Amino acid sequence: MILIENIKTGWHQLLLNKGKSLLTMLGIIVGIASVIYMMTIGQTVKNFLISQIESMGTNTLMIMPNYSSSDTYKSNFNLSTDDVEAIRSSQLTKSLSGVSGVINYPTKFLYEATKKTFDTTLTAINSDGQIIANYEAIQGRFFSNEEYLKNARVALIFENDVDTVFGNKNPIGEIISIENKKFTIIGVLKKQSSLQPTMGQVQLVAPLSTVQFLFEDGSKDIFYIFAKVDKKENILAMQAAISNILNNRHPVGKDEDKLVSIESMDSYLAIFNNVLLGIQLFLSLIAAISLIVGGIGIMNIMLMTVKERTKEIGLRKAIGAKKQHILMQFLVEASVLTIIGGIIGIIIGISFSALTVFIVALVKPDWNFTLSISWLGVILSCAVSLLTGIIFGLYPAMKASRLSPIEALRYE
Amino acid sequence: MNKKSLIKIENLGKCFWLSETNCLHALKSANLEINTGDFLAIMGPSGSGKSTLMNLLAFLDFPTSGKYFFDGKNITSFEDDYLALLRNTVIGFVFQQYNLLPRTSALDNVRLPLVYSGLAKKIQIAKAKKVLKKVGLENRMDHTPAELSGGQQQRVSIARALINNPKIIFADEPTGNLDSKSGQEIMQLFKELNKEGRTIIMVTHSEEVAKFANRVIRIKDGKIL
Repeated sequence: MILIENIKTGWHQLLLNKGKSLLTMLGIIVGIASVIYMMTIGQTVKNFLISQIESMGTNTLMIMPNYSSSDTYKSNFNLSTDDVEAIRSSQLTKSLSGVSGVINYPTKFLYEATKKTFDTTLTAINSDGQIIANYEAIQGRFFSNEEYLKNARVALIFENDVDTVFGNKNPIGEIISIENKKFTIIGVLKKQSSLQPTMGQVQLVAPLSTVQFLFEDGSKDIFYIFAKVDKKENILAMQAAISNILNNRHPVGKDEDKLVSIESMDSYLAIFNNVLLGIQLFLSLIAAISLIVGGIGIMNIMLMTVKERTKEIGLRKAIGAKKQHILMQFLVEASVLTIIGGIIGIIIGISFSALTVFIVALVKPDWNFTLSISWLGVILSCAVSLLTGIIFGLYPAMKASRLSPIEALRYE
Repeated sequence: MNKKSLIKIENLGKCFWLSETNCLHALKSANLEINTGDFLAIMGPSGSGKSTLMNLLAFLDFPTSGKYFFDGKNITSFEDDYLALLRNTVIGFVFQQYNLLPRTSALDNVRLPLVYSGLAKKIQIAKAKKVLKKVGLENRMDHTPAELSGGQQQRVSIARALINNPKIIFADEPTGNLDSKSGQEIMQLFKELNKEGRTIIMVTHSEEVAKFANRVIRIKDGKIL
């Protein structure tokens, strides 16, 4: 096969002048390495962020007052635990595996044993909240529905705050007081997302009913409702059902905007995914500019090669090489240069990505940051390398193929 | 000896256009007939047009007037790829400067014309070994040109010219770069090839070398004398 002979010749030429070849390939190497780095790190960060978001629960719906409408403010509208009960008791919402109202209540608490005070945000939910928010009690237990109904004064703490508050004491059964009301710690929750903003506060989880009864003067108002759908396929149906129930409960005038808005976590995830992909591609594109510079370098060197080897081209033509043979030979030679440059670039790009991930893992071991190589990027890089060789090799190769054998042979 | 006509040119001419109206007649209506088995020497001072004549005969260039019959066939198409095919299949070249690919073994140099005819590599190598043996270089097959003497390099280039089993071998000053002893040896090789029935057309300006030919034509100012 003539292609194999061409590749061999190209490889030969490359080895003949290793230093020159390496310098020639440098542009391609840098270009491909940057593209691979951008793609790989982008992919890694994306996977990391998505896994973080998913750890906070998938298939969840967020039901909020429609803050984008001025009608919501005019009517001073708030959702309440009655809305939660309406959703729960409806026949239409069988596919929900849980529904809960939520209040985030910022306050302080005092640990009785050490008399130390801590800033906190109480996440107030009902017993369904455990399933919805994906809370896992690694010690003790979550509060039951009975405790919820009885306004039990119990709270849970996250594992990462245990040492801060309780030192090396077992937190289960310890007493804290929030605004002079005593609460018993009944469980420790597994830390969910390393990205959860804590603002130096200790996060506590307590029954919503208790918080409403003790700190909100028994008001039934809540900030928002969150619900979990059993299967991804049912998300849209549940969204419609809940919308139906709540809009019936909170009717609006003909020209007014609806008071309730429902968003699914997955739709956020999809938007988030697209935005990240956009950023990733944009950065890769910038990196790809150096590929053009690299390509011009290749063109330059190939023009020189054609000139240096004019006599050889003349000979090849004299003994029967057709135009296409010469064209192919130099195209293949340029492509061998760019593909090898590309492969070196891929190796460097992945090495740097691995190094970056290694460093991040060293600095933030709790992030579970793992390298995920973008195979799409690798395949794309190989294709782009080949394409660069063909595009920028074309002009020199055409020049070579058009040489007249007599003049080329006479060339000194 | 079989005296079949192999090449016949009628009023063949070549002019190089210097401007739109002014042309330089490198060859002026040349008539010549070359038979199979001839050993022809083309002689003449430099600039006489002998190279132009050889380039035309060897399908390296196209004429601007006249007719060219090769093996009884009127060559009317002088399109690049067609000429390349003819060069690849019916003729062989030997150059003054050998024109071997550097850093490439004698074997690979010799089989190069077959690469372009698309033969299987096994056959290429078998044929290349055969012709290298014929020129007495069976022990130098893996040597690169830099590892060979001038005479040996010219033998490699003769082997390369022979590999297609061509009807004619064109030689352009084949001994021009060689010392007289190697030159004699090369000419002896040509003589032997001619005895086997191969047609050889050689350009030279050395009377000494021309003696090996059995026919000499002289050319001056673009005209065959």
